[in-house]
Amino acid sequence: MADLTALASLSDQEVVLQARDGLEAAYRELIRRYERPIFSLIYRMVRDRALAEDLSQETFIKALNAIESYRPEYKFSSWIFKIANNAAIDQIRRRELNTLSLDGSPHATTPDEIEATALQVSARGLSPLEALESQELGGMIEKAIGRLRPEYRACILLRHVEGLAYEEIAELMNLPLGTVKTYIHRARNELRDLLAHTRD
Amino acid sequence: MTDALFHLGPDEFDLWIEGRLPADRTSHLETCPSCSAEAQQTRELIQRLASLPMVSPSASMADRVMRQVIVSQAGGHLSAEELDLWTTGRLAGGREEHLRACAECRAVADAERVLVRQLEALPRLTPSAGFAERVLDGVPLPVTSLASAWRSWRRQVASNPIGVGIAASVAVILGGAVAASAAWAAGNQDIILGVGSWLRTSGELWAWQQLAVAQSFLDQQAWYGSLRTAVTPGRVATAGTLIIGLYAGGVLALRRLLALPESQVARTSP
Repeated sequence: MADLTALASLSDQEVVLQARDGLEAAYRELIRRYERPIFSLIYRMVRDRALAEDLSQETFIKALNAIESYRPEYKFSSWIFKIANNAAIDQIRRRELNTLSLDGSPHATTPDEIEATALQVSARGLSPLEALESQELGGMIEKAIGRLRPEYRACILLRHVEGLAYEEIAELMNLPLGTVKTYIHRARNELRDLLAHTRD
Repeated sequence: MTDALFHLGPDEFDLWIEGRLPADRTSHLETCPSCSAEAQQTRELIQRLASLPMVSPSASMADRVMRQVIVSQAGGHLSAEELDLWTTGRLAGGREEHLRACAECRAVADAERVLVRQLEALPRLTPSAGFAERVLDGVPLPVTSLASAWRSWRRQVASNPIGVGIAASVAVILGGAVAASAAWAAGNQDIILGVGSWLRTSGELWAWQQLAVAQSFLDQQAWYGSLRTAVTPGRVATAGTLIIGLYAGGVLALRRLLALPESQVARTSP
């Protein structure tokens, strides 16, 4: 426990160096620092708690197993968010989760279209996990985020929920800076429209 | 040289069209039907290209471009980039004045601020209990404590339960066999000692018998008698000396043959 207390005061880079020396407490400290941000990002991207758990776990295992290849001149947060974002985007593309959202297709623009494309789960009732998900991501803004394109969703979450700079987002998403700004501005416009639509 | 070498090249056709072809080349052009025909064709092609009509983009293109352009003039509405600066309190003073005066920009900016605050207020979500343990189960850590040894063992069992099961069964069987042997030996030392003594005596007897058989076999061979006569201690010593001398000479000769010249030996220090 003394290890954990001392590690908590170190920077990410310093904790990574300790992890490279094989200190298990350093691995735990990195998980402690990033488990919630990474899980939150992935969960809001894929909108499925069990899948988000698996992808978050996979993200940390990949990052910690490759800790030797991490270059300390870059921010650890950018590095691990990059791995997490890639995992989420890959998963979304693979399973086309965005078209199977409980909240309807992200391409639907009117209430009728949203209702028509939403999965009907009420007939069989919600499982406890689904009920938890419904509660966690059930707010208007969460639903609106879920309707954004995955790239817009990632950009807006990284910028305004995780507080990353535009340059960091551009680097971790392998996009030009101008594209990231455009994505974020468009995402905000869409969110404003969606939220206004919901209020109406 | 042939006439072809004196025909006009592509650059000279350009010069001719622009009226800058030197006089001697112009006189060639006037007398050469081939160059003259090509020059006329080139001029016609350029005239046709120059007369192609302009194609207009769709009417909304200017709007689409302007949505992506930061409007810098003092009187224009705030751009997306400026709205972003405003939400983080970094908008330039002059543009703040416009924002205060322009109801349209203020409405957009207020909506933007509300949205950004909603996004920033989103809670961090937590994975289920035991997340760190599940991650560490997938990360090979050096074994530095009993806890890490236990985790490492558990990981191995989880990753290859059949292999671990077989290895454990073999270990149990071997361990059981060794333990049973040790227990039996502890209670029957006289038998073990008796068997050991019998084996040693029988082994020695068998070895001497084999030696006697070999000796009698050699004695019956004709060549063995002459060999025993020929091999004397003096001859053995002479042959041994000769063999050692030849071996040493061969080694010295090989070393000399395989040695690199001095100038080609790599230097390890300056």
